[in-house]
Amino acid sequence: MTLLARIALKQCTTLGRQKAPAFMCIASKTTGTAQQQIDDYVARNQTRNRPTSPHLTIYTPQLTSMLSITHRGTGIWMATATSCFAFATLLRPETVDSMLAFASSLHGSMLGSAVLFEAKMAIAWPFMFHACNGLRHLIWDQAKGLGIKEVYTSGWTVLGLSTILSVLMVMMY
Amino acid sequence: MSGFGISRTVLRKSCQTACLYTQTARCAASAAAVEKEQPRLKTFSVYRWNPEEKGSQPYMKKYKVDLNDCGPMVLDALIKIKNEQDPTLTFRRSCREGICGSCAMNIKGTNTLACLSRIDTNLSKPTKIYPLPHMYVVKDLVPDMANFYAQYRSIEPFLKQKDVSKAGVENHQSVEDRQKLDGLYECILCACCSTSCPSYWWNPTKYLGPAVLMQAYRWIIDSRDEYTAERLDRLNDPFSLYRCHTIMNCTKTCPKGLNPGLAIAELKKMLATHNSSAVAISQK
Repeated sequence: MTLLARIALKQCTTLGRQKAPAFMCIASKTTGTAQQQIDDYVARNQTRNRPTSPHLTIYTPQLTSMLSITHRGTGIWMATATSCFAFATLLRPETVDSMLAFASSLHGSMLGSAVLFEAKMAIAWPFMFHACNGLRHLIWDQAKGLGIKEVYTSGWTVLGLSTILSVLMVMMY
Repeated sequence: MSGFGISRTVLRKSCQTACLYTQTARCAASAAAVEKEQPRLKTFSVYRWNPEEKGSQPYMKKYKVDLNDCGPMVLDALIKIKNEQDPTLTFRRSCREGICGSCAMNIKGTNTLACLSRIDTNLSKPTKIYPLPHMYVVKDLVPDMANFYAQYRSIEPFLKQKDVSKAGVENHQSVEDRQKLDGLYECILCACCSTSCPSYWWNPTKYLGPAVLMQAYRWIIDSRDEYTAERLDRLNDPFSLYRCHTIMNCTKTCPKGLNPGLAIAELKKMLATHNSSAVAISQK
């Protein structure tokens, strides 16, 4: 090791016109900028045919990630549902009346009421969950309640609260 | 005299068995009982991929380890497998006490350090071991960490000062200011948190990830550092910081019990009141 270092140092001093100090030899051995290193990493792994280690399929589903994906899912579902409904009524305004008539016809039977309850919940629960979890995110944005214990408490609270509130809303309307 | 000698060796031997027993968390008994005892065979299912076999696919290989004859941690089992069953099994390890961060891997579905992860003594269930998730695999449990380290380098994790007169002079810091760094400086850069983060999975080169962001925060709030605004400015783009959606897998998985999620939230709060144009003017 010392021999190698000595040879390297000798090379530096003999190659340069003036005697270059040792620290300049070290400085010239640059590995490029951080961005260059990242680019190298990408290029290297594209040619080497390395597999990507498994991720979504093997990571344990836990409250943290599950509530996060549910928040996104409910958001997408509500945006899709409302815009589809808006388009449908724009193209065929009579659908609203026929849907209302169909809904009231369901009221009569046990099965009909159950279906109606489910259908209402499919709208109410995503709304309530997204609203409650949205508040949770607003609290987080104040950098509060981010301890893992608090994250779990607030997570279960949001799940419970959104279910209770959506059942109440369905009962009322 | 000789009697004393014998009793000493016996004493030493019994001490060794006692150590063995405390390791496997079992009650103390005589050495003869150990040999008679039923082996407690635990199955480990380990991710394997060999780059030298052209066109080979990754697969899971099962190994059986007798827990009566093995240390308590998953790393002990891995080392035992490598020593006694399959020398080709490849993984990183060094300190075996949770300070170097080399043996970070996905054990039983969550990222942790193999040396800090106790073997699940339920023998009916195999323990699954994968490399850190969504990383390029170099071999078996060894991922390519170059991107992670380059990202860490990009945040300039060292003290930077503008005042030249301070060079070579001791940097004083109040007790309160020093305390702000607690819970941040302990990070060992094992990458458990970053590779548990789905946002980091989908944008590994553009999003810095929880570990690097927590270190960015550590230097931003350091009272001795004079590049706070510039450091914040470096994070002010759609990807570096803002790919964090507060999923909190990072804090959940940290083997050192740190809170990268909180550090990122603090960074977002700081950036909310940060004036980018002022930094641009001061740099001209």
